[in-house]
Amino acid sequence: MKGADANRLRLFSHKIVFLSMLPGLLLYTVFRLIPSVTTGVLSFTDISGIPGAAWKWVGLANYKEFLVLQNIRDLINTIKRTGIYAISVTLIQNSLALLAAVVLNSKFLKARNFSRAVYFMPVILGAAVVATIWKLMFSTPTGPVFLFMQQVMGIENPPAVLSSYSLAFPAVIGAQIWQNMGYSMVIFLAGLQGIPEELYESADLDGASVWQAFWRVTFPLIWHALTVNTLLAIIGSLQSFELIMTITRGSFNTATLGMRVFATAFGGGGASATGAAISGLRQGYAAAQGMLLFAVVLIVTIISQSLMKKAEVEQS
Amino acid sequence: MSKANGKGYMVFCYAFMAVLLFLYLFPLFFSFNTSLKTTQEYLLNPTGITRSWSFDNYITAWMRAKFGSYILNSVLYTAVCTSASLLMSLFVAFPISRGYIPGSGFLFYLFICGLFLPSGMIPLFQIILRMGLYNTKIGYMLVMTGVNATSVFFFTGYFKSIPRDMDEAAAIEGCGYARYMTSIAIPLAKPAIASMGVLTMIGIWNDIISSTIYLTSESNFNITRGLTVFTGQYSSDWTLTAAGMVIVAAPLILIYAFCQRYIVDGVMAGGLKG
Amino acid sequence: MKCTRLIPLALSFLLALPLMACQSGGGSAAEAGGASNVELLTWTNEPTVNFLNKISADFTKAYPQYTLIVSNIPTGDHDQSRETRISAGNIDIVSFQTFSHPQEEWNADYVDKPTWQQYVDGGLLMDLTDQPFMKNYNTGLLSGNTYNGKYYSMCTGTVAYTGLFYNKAIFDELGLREPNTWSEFVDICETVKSSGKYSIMTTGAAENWPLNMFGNAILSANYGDSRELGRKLLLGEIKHTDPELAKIYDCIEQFASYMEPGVAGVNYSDAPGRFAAGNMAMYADGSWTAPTIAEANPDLKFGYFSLPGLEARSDGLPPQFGIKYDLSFSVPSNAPNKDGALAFLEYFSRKDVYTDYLNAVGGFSPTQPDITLSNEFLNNLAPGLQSPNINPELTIYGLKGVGEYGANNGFNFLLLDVLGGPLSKTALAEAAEKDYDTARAAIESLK
Repeated sequence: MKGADANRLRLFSHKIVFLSMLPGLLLYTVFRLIPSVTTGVLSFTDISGIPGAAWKWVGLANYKEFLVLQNIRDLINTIKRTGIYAISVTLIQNSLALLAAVVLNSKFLKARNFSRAVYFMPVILGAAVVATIWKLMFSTPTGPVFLFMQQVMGIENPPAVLSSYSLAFPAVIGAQIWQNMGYSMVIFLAGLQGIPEELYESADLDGASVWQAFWRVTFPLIWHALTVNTLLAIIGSLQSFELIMTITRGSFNTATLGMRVFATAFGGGGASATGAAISGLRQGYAAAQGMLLFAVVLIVTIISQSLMKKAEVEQS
Repeated sequence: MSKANGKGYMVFCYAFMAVLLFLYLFPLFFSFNTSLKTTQEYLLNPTGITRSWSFDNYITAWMRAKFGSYILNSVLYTAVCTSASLLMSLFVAFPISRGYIPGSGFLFYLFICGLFLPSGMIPLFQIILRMGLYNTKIGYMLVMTGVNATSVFFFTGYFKSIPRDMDEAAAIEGCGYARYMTSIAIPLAKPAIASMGVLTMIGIWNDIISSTIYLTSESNFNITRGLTVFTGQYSSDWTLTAAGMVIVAAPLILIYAFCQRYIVDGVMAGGLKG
Repeated sequence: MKCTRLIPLALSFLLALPLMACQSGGGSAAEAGGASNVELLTWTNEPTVNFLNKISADFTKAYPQYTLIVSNIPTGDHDQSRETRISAGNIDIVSFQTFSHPQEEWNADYVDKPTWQQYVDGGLLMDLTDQPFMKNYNTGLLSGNTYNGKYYSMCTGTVAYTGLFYNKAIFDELGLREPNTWSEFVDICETVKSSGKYSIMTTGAAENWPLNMFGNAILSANYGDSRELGRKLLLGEIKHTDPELAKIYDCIEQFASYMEPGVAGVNYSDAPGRFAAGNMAMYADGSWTAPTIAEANPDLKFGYFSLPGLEARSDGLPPQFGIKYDLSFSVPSNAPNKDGALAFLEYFSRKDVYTDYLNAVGGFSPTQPDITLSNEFLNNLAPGLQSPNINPELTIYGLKGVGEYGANNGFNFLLLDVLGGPLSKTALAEAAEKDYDTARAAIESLK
């Protein structure tokens, strides 16, 4: 170790440093990088989740089955749903969160710490609990939403929301926003708290309205946080399906690409549009679907990144 | 705020806050209320405030599902995976941020990749399956520990803000790497560790995808998987289901009530940079 | 010097932590108990599970070296769980429903192999044909549950699945009796409706299959063995839009329109209770639910009749049930305790145990010959079981790659506007046929 004195660039022995990094690097490589990269390889096999069952290379068969054999309208619908899910969750969640953050950032407001805590609570509760809550809320014929439609809105025969081809998907989107709005809000709050109070005071002196103050002071200063948040939310929600899995299992037109990959690979779902169970554990085929999902995510990432850059240039 | 529109704005703020509060509190309250009813009372009067104050649902739910064992498992998974993940991330992030080993820049990009690459859950499943770790506690924990690109990224940024002079001073005084890390670098990174710790813990405790894939024996279930199976089993009985849900949610809400500031601040600090 | 050595040590300790935790926490039940445990996995059907738990002590008396452990998983999660448990090789006895509808030469282009066939072809299930206990069973009845002439499962019973439970008190009050034709069935529904006092019928539609099962029931009532129709649909020899099938779509729409409001949201496990509450005239489900209804309301008097065809039967019999094979036990080739598994199947197949089983489960008809049951409900089914249609599957054949409108052979109730779906019955028939055409064309193009 005395070498450290002699060589200032090598403060600590490479060997020791590297050894200490090894567990982290190894775990990361084996359980994160390699799986991520080899999805493509598996998509050319008919590998299943059943060991003992032989597997072989099948060339493009999985892609052919996915893109040709499968009903193309259903495929397009699934991709559309994936997009709608990502975009509506991102837009509504972030706008609500920003609004809530601005409101809760007002110093005069009483109980704002309490409100902040309440809005954030579903993040802590997690998907399993949130799904149970919303299944109860939407249950028929004793759930509050059903009773509200029946008795307050006067609908004689209210639909069963979670078994409806038109309503189940919006309901799941709603639950997703309900769960994660608090998270985005807290991040916006952090951004807002970084804005010096004097800026508002001077805007106030200029006679600016609340609305003007928001556009002139708040918005430019949190612009960066907003764009980063939006980007991450789009990419994240393109791939997320926790609540879809726990609330509807992907039936009744709620399956997104991520949900379908999961159901094909691991079973357990009425992931086809009509709820007919897809036979699970076809992991080679699922990997091919996963590659399509990856392509979608990649395209969206590139587009939104360039849009963000453009917007940033315009802002400054 | 200017006085001219201050009042209208104030009304709007309170109204908005109240509506959101209702949207957030009502489902929670309704579930809790349902859990305290007998099935009969729930079917007759689902929305009224409970009159029976029946705790039988809790007793039944506790007896039928092994919530105690699920909670213990969840505590085990969360504690082990969070600490292992944080420690490993710290030991990876520090040399990278300092460029202490050759190829630091390359390694940094490798971890950046992890933020954007797809999850690779199918090959990961094959790896675990072929290692014979399917449906074992250790297999599940390896999966949950393996994903730590975010914290590496975060810690790397944080360590850059700690002056390098300290390393040099320590090295000159003959302090070894391990002691330097454990007694100086890591304590200095405490705020970063706290916020990453909170994020990692929430993620692991609430994981439902991996536990569905990897855990099939009841003895290995974590709390989220246990709750999903329980609600599936007794979906006809909402009062019982609600009780099971409250059993799962109550400890979380309690902890949250006491450590709310700490948790939210952690997310604020972590979320901004991530 | 000293502290640098500590790093690898500390890290290896860290990595070993989960290992130790695992050991102290215990692995799966099979690992924990050693070779003497026989673990059986089945779906949650309370009477079955209760019975299996009840006989486990007697089983241990007969075979002192073994202990039976029953794991049950809700129906919706069960198949996934079975697949993963077989993958892991840590389960001794697994449950299947049927071993019917294999992929064969004539349909190899059009259908996928069912899961059970993948297992058998992969060598993952034991051939039980030569096991002595199989001789206890009625091989004629079970011939439809074989593959290449071999038994890979021990089928514990058949069930009638094309019938409706009815509330005897309501039927008596309104002067109704079991129907012999479709129009009589419609009259019953109309009478209940106009009485204004009772709901007509319910089913667990939220899970889709319980309602879709009655698409097959309607086919079974009119065609007898609907496999031939399934073959024609698959190969395009008959179209969903043909007048012959238009009659079926009429029945399907009518059947759906008599369901209680909000039926699409009724969970499968919810439905028996809704019927048992006493103001529901009928309940569409398989005979296996009888004990659940009786448990929910022991005072309820109920019967079970088969859904009638459009015409009365020419042989003068009352409408005959469609039956299918149910709960069948198989032994995975990689079972950790194969001998124990076979021992349990032997014990279960003993005539007295088997008779107790049927009486306890209360919804299954015997697959062993000469069994005398004490169960009144089952004995009352006899008139409808004189010439039953053995249709061993809920759905017929699923065409590969068919779109959502062609799912369940194009008879998907919840897509109908009367149940809040997007399509009218004619639109559904057209959409189904179009999806069938598209799928067949795609299959041709890939050949």
